[in-house]
Amino acid sequence: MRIALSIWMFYKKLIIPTLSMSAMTGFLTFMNSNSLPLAWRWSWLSFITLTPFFQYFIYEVRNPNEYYFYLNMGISKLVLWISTLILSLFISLIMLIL
Amino acid sequence: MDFNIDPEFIYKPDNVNIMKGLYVDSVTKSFGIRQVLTDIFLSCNVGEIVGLLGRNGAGKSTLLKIIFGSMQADFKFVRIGDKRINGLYDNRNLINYLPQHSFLPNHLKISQIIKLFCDKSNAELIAANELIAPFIHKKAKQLSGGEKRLVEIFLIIYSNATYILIDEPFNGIAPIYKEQIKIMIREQSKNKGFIITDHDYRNILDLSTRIVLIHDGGTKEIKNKDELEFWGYIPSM
Repeated sequence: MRIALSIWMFYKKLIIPTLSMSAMTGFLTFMNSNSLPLAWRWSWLSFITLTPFFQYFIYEVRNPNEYYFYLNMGISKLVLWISTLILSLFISLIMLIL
Repeated sequence: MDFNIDPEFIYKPDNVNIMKGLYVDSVTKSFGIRQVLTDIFLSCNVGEIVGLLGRNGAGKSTLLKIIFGSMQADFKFVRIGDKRINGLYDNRNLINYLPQHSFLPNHLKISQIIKLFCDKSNAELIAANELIAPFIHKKAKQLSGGEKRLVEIFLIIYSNATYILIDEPFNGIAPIYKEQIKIMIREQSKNKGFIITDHDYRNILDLSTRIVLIHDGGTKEIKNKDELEFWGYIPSM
């Protein structure tokens, strides 16, 4: 349980910047197409692709030492990367289905 | 020996658990053409506090990262008891490592961090400590460097791992806290083995049950201060 919660806490840091950029993508799509469903679809598709980018920027570039917190708990970098991809995919799919 | 070593912890079979000892051997590591570690042998048993000394750039932090598994060595042999440790996957609950720079997730509160990192009993113990209690509800990013270090030391010392590697624990810590940290490490070393490195060598000499010096890429067992002078780690008096 502690491991799952830790992975979520790791991911939590990525949500706000990624959501902001996704909303921006959705807004720009809406401005160009005037189609709300298309804007919604593009914003969540961009969410999937932007989370790995923000993980790279926030953790690998800006705070690489924070990985040690998770490594000490037995959570490897690979697990964190895969978790990010799976969580983003899951959240995006749910939002696209809704 | 002229170090201030607690005789309770020196090589006594009833105190030192050799069967599950940590053995590090044949570590080599190069950065480009510069070979930093060439001939490393290091051991640590439960009940021991091994002080690791060396000049700047000698490879102390590199060695700790290699033992922990977060850095690849050119070659290494690390074993705990009968279990060979090849990387991070093998060392869960066996080796924990406190790096030189803060690893606390800045976006979390200290209370959350403690609950995530430690089991319930240790989390309660840390949260109730008078040094930690004042900033338990603050986020890590609101703490000073010294306060962060204090939290990290508590987390790592009270973690579940059998072997604890600590890189510069006294860096940025007020002298009054240093004594309390040393008391905690001595107390926890009854059930754990510690390998500690710090440039504040007096505290290391005071705390350690054994001293190892990294010199020219190799390790030397140090018996007294004269040997530290001989190997050029401290100036001759």
